[in-house]
Amino acid sequence: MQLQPVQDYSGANYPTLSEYFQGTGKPRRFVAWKLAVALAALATMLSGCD
Amino acid sequence: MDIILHLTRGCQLDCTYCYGGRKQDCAMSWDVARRAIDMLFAAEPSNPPGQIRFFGGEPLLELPLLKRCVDYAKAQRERTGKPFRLGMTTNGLAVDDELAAYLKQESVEPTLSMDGVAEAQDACRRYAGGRSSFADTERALSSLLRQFPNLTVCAVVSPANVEHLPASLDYFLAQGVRRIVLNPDFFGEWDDPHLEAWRRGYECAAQQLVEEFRAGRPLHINVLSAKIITHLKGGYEPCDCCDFGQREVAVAPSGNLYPCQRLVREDVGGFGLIGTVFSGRSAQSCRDLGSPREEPSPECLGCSLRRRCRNWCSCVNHRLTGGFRHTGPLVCFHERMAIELADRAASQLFAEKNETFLDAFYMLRESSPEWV
Repeated sequence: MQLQPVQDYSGANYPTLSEYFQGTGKPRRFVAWKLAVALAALATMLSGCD
Repeated sequence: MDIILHLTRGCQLDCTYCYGGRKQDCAMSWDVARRAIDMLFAAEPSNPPGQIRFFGGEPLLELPLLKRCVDYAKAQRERTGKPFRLGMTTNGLAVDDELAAYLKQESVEPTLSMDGVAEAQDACRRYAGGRSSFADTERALSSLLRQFPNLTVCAVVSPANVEHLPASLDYFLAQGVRRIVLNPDFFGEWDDPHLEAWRRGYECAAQQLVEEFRAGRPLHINVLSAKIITHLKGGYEPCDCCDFGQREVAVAPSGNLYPCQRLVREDVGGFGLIGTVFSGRSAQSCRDLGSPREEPSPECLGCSLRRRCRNWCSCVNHRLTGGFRHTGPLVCFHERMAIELADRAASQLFAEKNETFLDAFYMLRESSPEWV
């Protein structure tokens, strides 16, 4: 088995948070806040070392 | 800072994949525990607040010490005004309703280590001596779920139990578990049939995720939810990754400090040792371990999934390849699979304008969802 870098990937057919909220006309600060919340969420989902 | 207290190296189980080394009735002294907790309160405040996490071996084998730590940390909070969180990883064998109520009362957030149905549990997680631990663990699951409806269950996925993964996921859902951490055993002997079974298991997980969201019930399976979030926010940031001894410190019963709980093992010092609770962390030792994010594997540089890949886990990398910065093919296989299946599920739910999905991942309400 070897490392298999992926050259072209197009499997994510859903918007990023920035794309999603920019489409709604929300201000940048709102988007930044949502990203911060997502970051915190990510931290809670990273557990897996137990 | 998070402090992981290895209250003991003793455990009732003899798990085949355990990275803790030989089991010993080797408990942490109160002096070591107190000094470790003092380290947390001496550290710079963080958001979210630092965590004291009880670990082992099996931490509930040292319940009086655990309770003393909880009381001391609360007293320190009163004294300093610094908030903190409490957590515990347990095999559940000493958990009953009374203990679950204590954990709830003291806000000790448990994670139950359980691999799933009896066949999965018995493949790797038997008592020392060979007896099945399934029935006892299942009782703990019931007791903990009554107190913690959002209980996290951590299941190791190994070659020996991977064929039971679909049944185990069904089982967890039927029991009411909504947060499932699948913890791959990257050090097992994985051959092609096992890898195919792993893919089938994750496909089943992705399908269950879709079905649960369609039914209006958010479900979080870490290997999928984390990958969805990495797409939403454009990849892992340095602050999302383990920083190997800076933000998280594992404390061995002896008081030795390590950058990761996986490196405590039999606590013989040497590789990974970054100090003691008596002398503090050695800045030089921490620097010597380096940062895997500075120079990723050359093979990975051209990969379009690199920013969403968990190729930064230093201790997994080191054990697989001998280098902190170089990950192994099995991690590559796993990450490609998890990203593909997570994106397939998320794309499907987004196309359906699934409200539960949008609410959970795009956080449409002004308040954060409960799982944040």
